[in-house]
Amino acid sequence: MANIRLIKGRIKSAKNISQITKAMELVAASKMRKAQAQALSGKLYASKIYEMVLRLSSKVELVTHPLLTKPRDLTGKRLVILLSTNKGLCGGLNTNLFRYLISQYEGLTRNEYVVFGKKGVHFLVQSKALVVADFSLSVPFSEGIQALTELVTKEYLLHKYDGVDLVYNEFISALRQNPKKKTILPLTISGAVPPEEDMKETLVEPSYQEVFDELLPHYLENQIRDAVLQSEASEHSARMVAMRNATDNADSLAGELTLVYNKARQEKITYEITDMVTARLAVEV
Amino acid sequence: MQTYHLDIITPVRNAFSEDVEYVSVPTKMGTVGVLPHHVGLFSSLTEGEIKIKTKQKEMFLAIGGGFMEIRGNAVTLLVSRAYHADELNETEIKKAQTAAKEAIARRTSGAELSDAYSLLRRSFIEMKVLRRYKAKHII
Repeated sequence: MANIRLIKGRIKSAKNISQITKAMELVAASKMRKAQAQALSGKLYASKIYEMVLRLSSKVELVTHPLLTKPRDLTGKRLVILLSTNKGLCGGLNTNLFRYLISQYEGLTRNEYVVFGKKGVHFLVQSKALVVADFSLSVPFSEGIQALTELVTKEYLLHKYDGVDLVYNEFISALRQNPKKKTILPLTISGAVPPEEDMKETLVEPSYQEVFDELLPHYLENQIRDAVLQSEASEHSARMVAMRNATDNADSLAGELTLVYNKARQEKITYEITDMVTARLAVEV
Repeated sequence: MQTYHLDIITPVRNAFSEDVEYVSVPTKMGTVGVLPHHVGLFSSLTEGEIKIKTKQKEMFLAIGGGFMEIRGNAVTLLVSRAYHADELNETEIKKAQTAAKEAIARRTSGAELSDAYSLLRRSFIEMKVLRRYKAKHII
């Protein structure tokens, strides 16, 4: 019967889908572990460099650096670095991020954008926002960080923007990612200054200005790197969860269809038996 | 001899963390030797080699640029890259060296050229570190 064959076909395709999504889940899981390990390995360096910047800046209030101060004449324009993904199939990760982006800025077109990830480029082009640079092709995204840092500092020092923000998915756990906005320029060095007794005797070579000139871009790069690594870990974990849900759905669909199939098969057999019985009765009489 | 704690940290790993007697570090102002109870110092570093002396042995590391902070009896080096001599591979370095030389000979320009020069510089430093290590281990 045609109906039974149809159901059989659907069971098969549901099973195939479940197999594929299962494989994708496993791939995403292994990538997530790697991304997480990478994010963790950078933690020590990040915290040390943060401490150094903090100590050094607490020591010299007099030194002002263009990266630490707001530009005098405001343009009303900000540069937003959007970290999305190149590939889809990761649940609501990008959608949530874009919704958050809209909620954070009134009028997306007022700002200019630097984007990692094709999904972000599509979204911004559709909303007619100006994308100044697209780093989607530098895979993994950490390859593009150095170039991005140079670009951002250069443009900021030219006073083209009031400030630079990072918008990305913060990695909280494998099951939770939160969209987050972080202002990276002008640099704000916040946090409790550790009590220092012997700082006064510290020498700085070659000079404060030169050390700051090097340290601050480095610090900036490190912050961007942190965000990139987190958003990569978020992507893989979101994909893993999405694929696990898809596998579960496909499996339950296959189960339901199997029930329907068995019922139909049983019905067919019953019909055939009654057919035979009535035929025999008709002959006997 | 007295010792102090030295940490060498790169963005990808903690390359060295031990008590040492002496370390010499290439800074922007020239090579600085650090003994225990050094005065507090904050300095930016250049690419080059580090010589470390612990109670048991002496060793060399090739580093990229970065920063050094001396506070009390702890020294922290934050560098872009750091390799122990035994992690370096002579054939790999030679390959990198010839690749860089070729790139320079081809008169590439812009970012590619500066990449080639930094690769060349790096491989020279690594080579130097490796030679020292070898010389020591043959004797």
